[in-house]
Amino acid sequence: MATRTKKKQGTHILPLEGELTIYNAAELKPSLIEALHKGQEMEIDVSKISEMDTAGLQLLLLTKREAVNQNKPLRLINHSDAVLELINLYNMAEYFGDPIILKHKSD
Amino acid sequence: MNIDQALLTFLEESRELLQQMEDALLYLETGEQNEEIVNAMFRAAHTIKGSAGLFSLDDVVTFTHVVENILDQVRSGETRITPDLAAILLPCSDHIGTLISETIDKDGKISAELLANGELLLEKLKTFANPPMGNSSNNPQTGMTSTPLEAAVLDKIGIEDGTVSTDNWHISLRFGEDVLRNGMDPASFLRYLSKLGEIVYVTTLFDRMPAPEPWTPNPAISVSRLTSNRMPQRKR
Repeated sequence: MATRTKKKQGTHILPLEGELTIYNAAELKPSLIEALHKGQEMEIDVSKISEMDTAGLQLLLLTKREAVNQNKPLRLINHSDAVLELINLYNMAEYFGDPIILKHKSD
Repeated sequence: MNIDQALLTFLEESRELLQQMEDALLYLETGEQNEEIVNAMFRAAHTIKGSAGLFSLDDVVTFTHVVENILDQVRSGETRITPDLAAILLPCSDHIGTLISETIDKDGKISAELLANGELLLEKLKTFANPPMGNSSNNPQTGMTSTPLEAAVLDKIGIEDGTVSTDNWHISLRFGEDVLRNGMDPASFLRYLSKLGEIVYVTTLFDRMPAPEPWTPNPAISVSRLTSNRMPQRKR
């Protein structure tokens, strides 16, 4: 999974793509923490995350906690279904504090 | 499951836990030190206290609370488990068993003799505490010290003053640090539970998640608490 950082008016935008799981969470961690250290504000675009497990959620949680500790705004944006499902399962939406657009499930 | 059945389950479970505690104590009485065994005893006391709290078995909660505190101190290394301490914990474990069965049999009215016996045991037990314990300021009613967050959660899931106002289950899941490394995902547990009943509320505790440096993606989410309504009801 490739990540790259775009800057938008002082905000680092970090798009994550593909899997965010136990298989790559450790590998991705430095880039997330580094991006957080570099900027004053950060957005992680999670729209292209197709699969996330608890290790992936944990990585987002860790980054969020670091952001809170450093007093930097961190937002997850454009939640994909995989991300939403897990955040809701663990009831962590409130902790992340991001606006989430609710979608009706078509079944 | 009606309340009587729930009580019977509790009775059965606590007997098993007390038996484990006794086995552990008999082992520790020989002077052996074993962290895993101490942890298991602590968890047994903690579970009994928590479940007793749900049934408002206050005498059981109050007594077990002190036992749990001592075991917690042993666990954290503040107090050393000695053959003497094990020897006093043994009758304490018996006493918890008697308290539970008497409380349930006699509908909460336990004999003055039993209470006095309990007091005596607690006095002895407290001399092992480090620093020696006075009356604990923890809230033994709910079986836990309520932080504002916990209070809010207890309120949300219908637990007030240690009594349960709904028939929801409070389930505490604590995962080992290796759970992810071993290829298991706690999320599967939650998904499975949500098939057995409705999950009313989940609290994820991640205070044990290490700071990023050094960090591995394993030991983070070790505790989840959730409430699911009712228990497995097999679908036919």
